[in-house]
Amino acid sequence: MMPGAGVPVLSLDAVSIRYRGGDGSLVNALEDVTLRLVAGEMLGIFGPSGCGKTTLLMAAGLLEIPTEGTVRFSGTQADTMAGEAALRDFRRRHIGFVFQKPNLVPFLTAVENVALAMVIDGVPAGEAEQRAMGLLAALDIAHRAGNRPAGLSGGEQQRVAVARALANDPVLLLADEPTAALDSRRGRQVMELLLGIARRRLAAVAVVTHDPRSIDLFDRMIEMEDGRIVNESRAAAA
Amino acid sequence: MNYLAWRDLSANMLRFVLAAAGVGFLLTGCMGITGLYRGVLHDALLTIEEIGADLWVVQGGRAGPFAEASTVSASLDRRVEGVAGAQAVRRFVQNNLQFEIGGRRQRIAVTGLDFPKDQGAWVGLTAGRLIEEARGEAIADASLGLALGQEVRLGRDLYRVVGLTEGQVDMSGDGQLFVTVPDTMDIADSRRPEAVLLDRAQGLGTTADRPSRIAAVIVTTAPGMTDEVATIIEAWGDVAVLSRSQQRDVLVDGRLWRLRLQILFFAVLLLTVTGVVIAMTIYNSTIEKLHEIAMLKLIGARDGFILSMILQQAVLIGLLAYGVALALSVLLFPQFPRRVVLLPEDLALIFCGLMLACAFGSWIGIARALRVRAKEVLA
Ligand SMILES: Nc1ncnc2c1ncn2[C@@H]1O[C@H](COP(=O)(O)OP(=O)(O)OP(=O)(O)O)[C@@H](O)[C@H]1O
Ligand SMILES: [Mg+2]
Repeated sequence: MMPGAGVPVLSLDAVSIRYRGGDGSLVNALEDVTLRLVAGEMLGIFGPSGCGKTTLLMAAGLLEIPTEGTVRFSGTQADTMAGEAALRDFRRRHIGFVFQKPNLVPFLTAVENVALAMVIDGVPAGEAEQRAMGLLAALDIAHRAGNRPAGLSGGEQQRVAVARALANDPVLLLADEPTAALDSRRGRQVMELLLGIARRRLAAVAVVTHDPRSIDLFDRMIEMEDGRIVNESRAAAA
Repeated sequence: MNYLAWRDLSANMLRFVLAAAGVGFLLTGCMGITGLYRGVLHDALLTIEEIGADLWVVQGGRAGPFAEASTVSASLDRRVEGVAGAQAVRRFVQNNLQFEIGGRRQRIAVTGLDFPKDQGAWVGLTAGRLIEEARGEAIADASLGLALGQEVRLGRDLYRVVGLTEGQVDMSGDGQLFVTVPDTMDIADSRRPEAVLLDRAQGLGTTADRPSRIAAVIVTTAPGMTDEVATIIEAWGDVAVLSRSQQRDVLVDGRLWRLRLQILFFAVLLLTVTGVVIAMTIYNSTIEKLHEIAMLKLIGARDGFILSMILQQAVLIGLLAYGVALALSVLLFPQFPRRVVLLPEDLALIFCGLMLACAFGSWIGIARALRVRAKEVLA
């Protein structure tokens, strides 16, 4: 599953997600959002806190079934799939996640953390670790492969997390504020990494960020407010 | 092997080892009490199995001489010898007495051999020889601490130890000393049975104490004649007859069933505690990993992967604990004052119980892990 650049990967059609709040009232976390992602593009998602950015990633990542609307992966209608187990299988094979915190498994070394994402898909441990070393090398962190997360800096951890997200060669890479915990130089590095993934691996990359300094890296940016996309802009051709 | 199970355990080695050690000690206890029961059973049946009697003729209305007291006339053997089909007839008497030997008060099961018909061939000598004189010779169990050739004073007379045997103890674990039947009677006459001493100490005076009588007459019958001989003797009316298997049942189902029930109860209790310890360990380590488990679900790990991690950890703790318990058992139990018999089938049963405990222990952790939602990572 490796479409060429510009091929549609994911489409959200009129997706709404409502939560029932603690007081019983409904929260419209996502309201009638329509969005398309194509292979090789890097999308920036901006907006104030609580506007629904994470919820949008959850819908795109098949972690939250829309209350209304559909999520389609290259033709597969996600919400008609056979429940949680099937969605998980789909995530394992085709989607990569990067979070604000690296969320590495503390008792695994860097290379094992990356290999884990292949092992859960049935790749033998030895082969998985070999491929994981390749990914770490590509992200310029191979020299730290034998360290546990506690022995890595925040930036190094985040690069390991990106390597893990790439382990299943995803068509869609979702990142929720991946640079929030990093200084601006390291943050910039991670953003450039993500852009490289979009370009070289032709994945569709969606990044939630508050950081205006990396605006120049996005092909497309959307701005959200109260669960809606209120503004969309395309980068001027460089 | 699950990719995470061992790596997690080795990263938390101390907790893992402590849990396994704790469970191991519990299992050692479990093996100990079942082994002790088997040992008691073995000791209780030892004489019955080895003395080579097909029938036991005992006091009428009694299931003696082991499960109940039995006294019969010392000449009963003559009557029994007259029965057609009775091939070998011996007198049997056994008294538990206390003697001072080497400055140490010791309990001895003095057992009579019907010399010269019985020189003690069945007791299994480990050193020395069988009894060759009608008077003054003894075969002693090693647990009594007597040396070959040593002379001990039992009552009025001296007895020379001519043979040694090993593991020949009675039901209560007292080492046996084999002497001839007349010697047995002399010893009992001179040294009142322990019960009498106890009664006297409590000011109860002497109870009926007739050491000139014997406990039972044992019969080896001609092949296939056992039932016939038993029927004839039983018809006399004044004595009771027990076959070897009845004698066995009387002890196992009569005298030892409470013990067995208790042992079973303790074994189940210990295995339950084992389950609780494993459950606590596994549950704690699962709770600590909830975030990682949510992350695993988010990146698409199947429930089976998470489940197998938890289950394998429980089983690993169980296996290590079982190894600890086996090693401790082999090292410790031979030092116990009473015989501990580890039967493969008991060990297998304990192993099955342990695996059940592991399954129960991991189940509670697994149940918690499966409730975790993937998106908790993003929250
Ligand atoms: N499980 C839930 N139950 C109820 N309300 C929820 C739940 N998850 C999110 N919400 C609400 O939905 C809205 C959107 O939340 P979301 O997490 O998508 O915001 P966000 O844009 O990611 O914010 P932030 O920038 O602070 O991360 C918020 O008002 C939030 O309170
Ligand atoms: Mg958010």
